[in-house]
Amino acid sequence: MAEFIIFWKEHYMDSRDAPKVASLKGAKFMKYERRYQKGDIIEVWPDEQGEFRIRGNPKFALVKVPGLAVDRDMMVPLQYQTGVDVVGNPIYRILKRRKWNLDPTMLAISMNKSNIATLTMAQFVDSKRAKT
Amino acid sequence: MAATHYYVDANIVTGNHDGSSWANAYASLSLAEAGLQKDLDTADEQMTIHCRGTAGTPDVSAVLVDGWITSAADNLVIQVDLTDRGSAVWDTSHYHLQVSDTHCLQVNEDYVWIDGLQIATVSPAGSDRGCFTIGNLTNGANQIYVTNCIMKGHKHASYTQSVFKIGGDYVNLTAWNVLVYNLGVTASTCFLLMSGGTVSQNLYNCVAISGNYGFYRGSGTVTLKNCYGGGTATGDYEGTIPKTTCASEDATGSVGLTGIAVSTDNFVNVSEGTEDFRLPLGSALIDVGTDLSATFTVDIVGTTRPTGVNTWDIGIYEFVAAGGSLIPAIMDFYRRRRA
Repeated sequence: MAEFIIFWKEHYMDSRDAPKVASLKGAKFMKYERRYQKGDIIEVWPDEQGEFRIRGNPKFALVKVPGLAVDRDMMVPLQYQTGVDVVGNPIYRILKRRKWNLDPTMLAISMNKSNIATLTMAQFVDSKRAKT
Repeated sequence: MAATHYYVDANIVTGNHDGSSWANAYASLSLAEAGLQKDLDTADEQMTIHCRGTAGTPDVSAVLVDGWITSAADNLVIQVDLTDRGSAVWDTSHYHLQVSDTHCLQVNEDYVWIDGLQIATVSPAGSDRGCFTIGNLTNGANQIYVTNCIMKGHKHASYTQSVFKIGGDYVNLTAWNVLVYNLGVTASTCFLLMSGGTVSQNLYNCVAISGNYGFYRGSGTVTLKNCYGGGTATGDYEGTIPKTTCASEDATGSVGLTGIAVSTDNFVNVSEGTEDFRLPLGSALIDVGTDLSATFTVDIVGTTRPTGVNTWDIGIYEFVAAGGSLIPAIMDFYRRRRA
C-alpha cells in the first residue's frame, strides 16, 4: 500500500494572485505557476509510514491506496531540460511544483474528519491528474 | 521585523506537527517547507526553521524551496543549531538530509540561508543528482548563504554529479565552512559555479575532495579564499578563479600552497567511510590562511577563529592546540622541518 501526503489548503498565492493572473508576467508568472496547489502530492510513503508524520496538521491530508506500490515519480516536479552544463549534466527549469495532483474535489468525498481518505485503485486513477 | 521559529525533527512520531515547538515539530524539512510557505516580505518576518534528528533517522524527502516571497531583511533561514550538530565529520546520529535518486535540496528563492546541514545523495539511477542546487533567482535582488554544511556525494562509478551546483543566472552566493567529498571521478564536480549576470559567488574556507573537479568555475564572478581542493582526477581548481590563500593537492592552488596531499599528514582521517577532514597537529593547512574575520569568525564547529596575520587555517576546521604554549611550539617545529 502506498500513502500519499497531500497539500490540503489553499496556497497564499491563490487568493492574492489568482484574480490578476492574466497580468502576471515573466518571473512572477512562473513563480505563481510553481506554487503548491491543493491536492499536490508532497511525499509518498509505504504503508503505515505516512500518517504519523502529519497527524493533527490540517494543512495536510493523507491518501491511502491499498495495493498500490510506492512510486517516487509521484513526487517530482513538472520540469523540462533547458540544456546541459559545462560538465555535461542536464539543466532543468521547473514549471510546476509537482507533476501530479489528486483532484481535491474527488478526495473530499472520501476524506474523514482527520483528513484521511482510503481510495481504491480505480478511485486513485480517476483522481490522479497530470499537470501540463 | 518579527523573528519566527519553527522546528523539524526527522524522528518525531507524536505531536500535532505544526512546527511550533520541538514537541510539535514537522517530521521532515519537505513538509515544513510546504506547510510554512508565505510572503515573508509583506509579513515583515524573518523565519528560521530549526532541524534536528534526535535518534539519527535520516530525513529522506527531497526539498525544493520555492513559492515564498523573501527580501534581504525578511529572509528564510534553514539551520541545524550548533548544539544539534556533529563535530565536523559526517555523523548519522545528527540531522542529515539523505535523499535517493534526486536532488536533495534546491533553492529557487532569493534570500535564503542554509546553515549546519549534512546532506547526502544516495542510490542514483542516473546522472545529475546533487546535494545542493540553486536555480534562477531574481536579477540583482538576491543573496544566498550556505554555511557550515557537509555534503557527501554518491561516488557512483558511472553516474555523474555536481554536488554543490549553481545552475541558474543572477545568483549572489556567499558560502563558508562547506565540505564536499565522496565523489566518483566520471565528470563529477564538488563545486560547480555557473551564473550569468552581474553577480558574485564568494566561497571561503570551503573544502572539495575527490571527483573529477574540485572547484569549477563555468561562468560568473567567483572568488575563493582559504579553500582547499584535493583528490581530484583532472583539477582541484578549474577555470579562471581569483584565489587568495587557497591550497591544492595538484598545481592549481595559490602560490606556495600547492602539493598539499589528501593524506593523514594534513587531515585526521582520509580513509573512505571514516573521513575526518579536521586538521591534525602539523598539517600544512594550519595558520596559512587569510584573516576573514570581517566576514565571519568561526569554523564549522563554532570555534572562534583567531585574528591577525598567519592565524587562520585553510578549510572548514580551525586547529586549536590542546593545552598551553608548548603545543604551538611543537607545531611550529614540525612545520619548519617539513619546509
